[in-house]
Amino acid sequence: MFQDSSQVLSPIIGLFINVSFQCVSFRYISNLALLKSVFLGFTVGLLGIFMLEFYALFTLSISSKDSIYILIVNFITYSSLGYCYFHFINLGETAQRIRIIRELYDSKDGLSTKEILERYNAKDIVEIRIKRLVNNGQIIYKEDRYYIGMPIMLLMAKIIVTMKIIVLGKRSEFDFK
Amino acid sequence: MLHSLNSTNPEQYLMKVLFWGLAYFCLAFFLHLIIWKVHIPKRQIKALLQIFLGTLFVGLFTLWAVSSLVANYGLFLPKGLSQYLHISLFFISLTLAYITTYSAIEVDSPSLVIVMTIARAGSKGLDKKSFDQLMTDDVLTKPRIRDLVVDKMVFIDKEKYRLTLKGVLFAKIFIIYRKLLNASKGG
Repeated sequence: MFQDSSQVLSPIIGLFINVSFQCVSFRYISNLALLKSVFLGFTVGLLGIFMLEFYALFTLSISSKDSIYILIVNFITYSSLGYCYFHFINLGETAQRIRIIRELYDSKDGLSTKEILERYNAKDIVEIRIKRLVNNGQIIYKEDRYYIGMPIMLLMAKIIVTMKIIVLGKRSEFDFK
Repeated sequence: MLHSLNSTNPEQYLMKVLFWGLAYFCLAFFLHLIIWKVHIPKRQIKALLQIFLGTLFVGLFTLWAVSSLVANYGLFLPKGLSQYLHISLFFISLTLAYITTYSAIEVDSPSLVIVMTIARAGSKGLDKKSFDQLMTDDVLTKPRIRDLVVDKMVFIDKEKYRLTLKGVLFAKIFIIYRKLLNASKGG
């Protein structure tokens, strides 16, 4: 029974290994950047899935061909779950809504709009992101002017805008049809 | 699992999981697009979850009902609980990946607003003063506070925003997780 379930549930087991390894490595390996710890966790989780497949290959009466087929499905499933975990980390790191929720959580009497904006506002949001974008070369700041640097972020932004047009029928949440 | 593998061709096993998983995912996606063309729901993530999970449950029930009626005709239908579980897990992982991506479609992220604003200025660039005038709380912060009210994570009491139980639980998940990582407040 365990052996049967282990193959169906191997993406879940892989995700558990991924999350555990990412948390431990980020916390205890000094100088390890968050993004690197995410890739490390993903790789170790993937190795876990491979090991489960090898276990099934050598201990169960499953042919190598069967194992490869199941591995393909489980790899897609695991990658999707890994992608979700990456977004979960990203939410905690950069999402404005999570930051506002945390500010409200820390204020037992609640906060007015003005008080929220004193703690977290457009100036802070832009400052952090501009610094990040300039540091990784996506934006160039020269003589009090901003220019597009490397086109990767612009390409990603254009893909998201295209998806917005397809799904929502508008380019931005501030476009009103 | 073994029973399923031994009783069917392995290529068929994979094809069934891939085929039915992807078929139901595409069906749910098109349903979502059609609904969105008619009317975009106020609570979009909740509506997406209902559409995708509803499609999976109805789809699997239909498959199960059909397979119990025409089991002996050798149709391309899943067999056994493990294949249904495998299809469900595959479908749910794709759904969760789409929903996490959808949050970037639903609202304009600040990085996207920044990059698109600078890109619109073209090769002559955008001067800092004009840029700062465009990046206001009305564009970046206030809409997110409104979203929290719509999503019922926050309620207004005497002109003050307070967390609902859902908001408190949500905050705790991230606080515990970030404590585990020994990370800052973020944002």
